[in-house]
Amino acid sequence: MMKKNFTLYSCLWELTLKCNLNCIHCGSVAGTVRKQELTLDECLRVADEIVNLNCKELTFIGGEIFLYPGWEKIAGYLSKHGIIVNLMSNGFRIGKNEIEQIRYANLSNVGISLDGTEMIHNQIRGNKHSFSRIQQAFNFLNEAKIPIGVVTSLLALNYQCLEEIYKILIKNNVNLWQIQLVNPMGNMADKKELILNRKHLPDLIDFISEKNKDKYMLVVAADNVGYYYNDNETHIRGTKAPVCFWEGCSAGTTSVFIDSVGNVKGCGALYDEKFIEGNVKNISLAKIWNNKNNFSYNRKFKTDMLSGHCKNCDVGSVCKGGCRASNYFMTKSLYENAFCAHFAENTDHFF
Amino acid sequence: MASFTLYLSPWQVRLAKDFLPRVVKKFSKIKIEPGVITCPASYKIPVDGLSKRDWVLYLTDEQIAIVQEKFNLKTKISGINITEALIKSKAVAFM
Repeated sequence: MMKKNFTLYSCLWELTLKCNLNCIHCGSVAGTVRKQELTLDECLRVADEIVNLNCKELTFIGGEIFLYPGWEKIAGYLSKHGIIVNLMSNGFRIGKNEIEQIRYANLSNVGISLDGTEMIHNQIRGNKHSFSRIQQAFNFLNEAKIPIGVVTSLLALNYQCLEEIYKILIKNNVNLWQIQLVNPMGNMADKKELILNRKHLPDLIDFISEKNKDKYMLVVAADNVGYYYNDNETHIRGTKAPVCFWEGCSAGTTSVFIDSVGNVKGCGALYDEKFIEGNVKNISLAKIWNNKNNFSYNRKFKTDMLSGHCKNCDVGSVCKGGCRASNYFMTKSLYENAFCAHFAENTDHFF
Repeated sequence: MASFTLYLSPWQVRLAKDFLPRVVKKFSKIKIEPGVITCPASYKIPVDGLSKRDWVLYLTDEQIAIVQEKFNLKTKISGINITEALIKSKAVAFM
């Protein structure tokens, strides 16, 4: 009998790869539906397994989640069983019908991807109506009193827009803003020149910390932004605990990712088949999660596995080398972080 | 890890009263329950937003040293998150 060592806290679930946009930074190269994506019945069975694992929070992503017929039934089932559920969308399709679905699913919030002012956002999203459709989505969500979150994916070309994005978010009553860096994967694999230079990291961290002082919204740094630049660290990680700080990648230790065909990985951004621990079509999620040999890159992590400039870092035992996905695509090592703010001010760009 | 108590300075009490007018009428210290001290995060949008009553209790240097020792923190800190959810869960308590 396998011993259960890790408690599942959060799940990221990609219901479909089908998408109505073609964004230049899309890590999963979304657009066309995958062959043999999970059916609604299969998804409901998996939802049951997630409930039985006592998962606390779940986020649906795509592709574009609203293109998966019946998503609200899965979300509603999870909400009904006490899981806090939200979703990420490009906002393009949100109208009255989608608002009804969101209400039915009882979501905690709706996350919208917004990457810049109108011109920059539309350029990144590859659609001249993308920004205006988001404005329309904000209006629908606010009218329905549904809490709005926004995720901004930072590139070299939209880094200068942060202040303007902030004003747009205040105007539209957004109460949660996550800022994440784009990794050189998927559509970005051949566009490394667009990746944000890490010399900007200290300023980005200062920006997040400062905006939190305004108290218009909670601004959080994604897992690939960090780490330990100064006392800002405890002001950029949310407010779930008296003191919040980065304590290492949670992939496979408290969080899990399921893709649209049922593959299970520790994190959705680990875009490589070698990180697949199993498939829920063949084996239960509980068996995958409770297999002590799975997710070994984090579950069996030891500080001496850190490499490069992370190897002798004074906070290496706490930070554990940062975001595994970012590391994998930036340094080719899971245990060395390219964006670390500790080094950002005094080192050249990684490329 | 056991809970611990910080005695508040007069300016911290005034600050806390501004944010917590109805929670407690009289207090001079704060009890902190370390529990799970990190925010489980992942490559996704977190579910919680900002409540109007969320704030940060900035600490004195002496208090910072105590918190760093109790939490075994290697990182620098300047304050403690105070939210309705944390008060409700008794992770922080004004006494």
